[in-house]
Amino acid sequence: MAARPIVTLDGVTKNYGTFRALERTDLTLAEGEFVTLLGPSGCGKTTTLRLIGGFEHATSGRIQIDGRDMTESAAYLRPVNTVFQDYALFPHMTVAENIAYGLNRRDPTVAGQVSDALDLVGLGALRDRNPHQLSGGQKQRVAMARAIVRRPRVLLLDEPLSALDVKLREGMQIELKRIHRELGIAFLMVTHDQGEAMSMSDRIVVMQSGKIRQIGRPEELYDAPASPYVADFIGGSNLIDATHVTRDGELHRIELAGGIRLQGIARDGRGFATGAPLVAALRPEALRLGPGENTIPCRITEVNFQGDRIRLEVIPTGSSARLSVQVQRVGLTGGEKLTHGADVTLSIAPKDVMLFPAEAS
Amino acid sequence: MKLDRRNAPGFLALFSLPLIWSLLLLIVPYLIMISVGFWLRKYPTFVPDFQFANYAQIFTDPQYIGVILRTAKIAACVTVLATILGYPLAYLLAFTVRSPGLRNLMYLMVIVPLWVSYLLRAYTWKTILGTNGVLNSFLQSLGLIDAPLDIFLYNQTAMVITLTYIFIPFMVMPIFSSLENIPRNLIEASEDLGIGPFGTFLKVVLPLSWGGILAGATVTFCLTFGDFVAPVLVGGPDGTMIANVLQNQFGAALNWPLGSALATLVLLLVMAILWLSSRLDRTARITL
Ligand SMILES: Nc1ncnc2c1ncn2[C@@H]1O[C@H](COP(=O)(O)OP(=O)(O)O)[C@@H](O)[C@H]1O
Ligand SMILES: [Mg+2]
Repeated sequence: MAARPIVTLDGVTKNYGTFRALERTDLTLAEGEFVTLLGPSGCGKTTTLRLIGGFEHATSGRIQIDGRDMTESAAYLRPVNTVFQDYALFPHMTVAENIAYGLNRRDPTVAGQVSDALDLVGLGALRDRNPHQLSGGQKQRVAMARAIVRRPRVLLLDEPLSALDVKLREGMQIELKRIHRELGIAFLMVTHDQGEAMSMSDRIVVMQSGKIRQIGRPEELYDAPASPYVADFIGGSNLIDATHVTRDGELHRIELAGGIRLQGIARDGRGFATGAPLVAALRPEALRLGPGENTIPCRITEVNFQGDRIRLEVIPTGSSARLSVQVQRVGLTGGEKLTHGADVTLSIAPKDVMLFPAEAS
Repeated sequence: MKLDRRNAPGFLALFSLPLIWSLLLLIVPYLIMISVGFWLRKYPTFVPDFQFANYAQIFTDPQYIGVILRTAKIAACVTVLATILGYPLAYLLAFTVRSPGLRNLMYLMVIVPLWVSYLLRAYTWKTILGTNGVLNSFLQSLGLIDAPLDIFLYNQTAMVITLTYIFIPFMVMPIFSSLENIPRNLIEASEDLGIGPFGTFLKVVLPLSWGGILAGATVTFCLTFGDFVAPVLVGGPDGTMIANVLQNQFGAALNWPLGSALATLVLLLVMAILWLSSRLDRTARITL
């Protein structure tokens, strides 16, 4: 990454009492970048954001913002702004007053800046409304305008879209990307929705119980997850226990419960001891109907019609593992018998059988 | 009021008792009081009449207007003092005390005096401020004064102190609850936008607790305005308040018509204050 770092976390740990919410975390945010913190509820995403915003203070480690050490600085001294999860609009002020709140009142250009910010989020007509007269999506935009009008070096967004209904959310995703492009400042967004993270981010930081598990571009995380956890969290995977049999160059031969043998690949070309316990991650959309290189005979336990595709739950013969399979309907000949209890043969390309040592999960 | 016809019998059955109760015990006494205010005094009794001599007397005899103004002055002093003392206390409770247990304990300490007899609490100050009281003994023991001073008791200052002490819980309670209702993320949002703690207090906390201040001030003012015990216990010759005059008209002076007219006037004044307060509150009403 050639761009200058705007925010740097260096070994940051945060304890609440005896509970460790964030563990020795390193993270760099480059100028103009859109980075997403992704992870399940309670994994420390909000804590990370609040540490950068200055609302919590690190137990140990350093935080640099725009080249200055701000580990101990108060929130109001930091060149960052936050879009709060529940908007936090001042109820006793109009939309325009909310947006002008952080600006110097004596500055003659304030009115112009407020109008520009309102135009940027498309709310020019509502400037004299009170917050309680706004819809959720409108409040969201006011909160955005209020945060960006101060031209922060980085904008922090805590689950900005989670309170909106699905249709509004998709529109706002596109809006947020547009605003990010137009402003050119760094965005650090928190979400627990991997689809949202994938579609919006330059880079995604996958977190789990106070630790960063992997950082990478969305396609990197999808194509080369570093752990079964990431493989499952990004895009979803079937995680199956297996044992290692032999290695043949790039390919590893493994055996599933029930004697099914598959070929797969390991990240970074790593090796495994013979007989070592493994976890194989198989993406539902990588499994195909019909025989192939890696053939898995299965029985269907559930059929789920989803419009352009069908989701099957199957059990491989002789195994107790469950697999989810996603079948595109365009690829179907019509001859397949996809009903509950029917036997099907599945196959998967060896490069799509991602192998991890069992203890990594 | 519009009654849904289907519910009317049930509604009447449910509310008729309380309605009759309040009619008999609240409305009727007020009506009696207001009408007696127009009666004529024929010593030693009074005869029904409809004339304005009682009101004329109130407005022409400077003694009555003087007492009303003094009462208003003392009520205003108590209100201001209680706000100045009560706001920081409520703020401390709502924002500074982190532990919920300690906060509840402190809050309880604020309101617990309300369960102690009013007379007892007023009397406490007599023991503190009196010639042989705690304050004098303390100053003497420090060697600051040689002989007990009698300047602490029996004056308006003593009354203001006593009444402030007695009514301050009514100030702290509404301010505390208004402060507690301020979402904490508004304060964080303010700091996020570059405003320091003091600016945040002025621009966010104070405006959003205005309703609590107003409610506390209204209650404190009205309660002080109607008080007649503190003047007797700790007030001096210049400490008579309107309620004492009123009481006197129904007692020693034996002039019920004048007393009723005065009471009606006080009632109107208090209602005017309540109206004003609700007007101010409505213009400042905020939907959180
Ligand atoms: N002020 C706090 N005091 C104690 N524990 C907290 C506090 N804030 C957060 N936590 C805990 O820290 C963990 C991480 O919280 P958070 O960063 O809010 O998670 P996320 O935003 O990823 O859902 C959670 O287990 C939460 O209960
Ligand atoms: Mg969170």
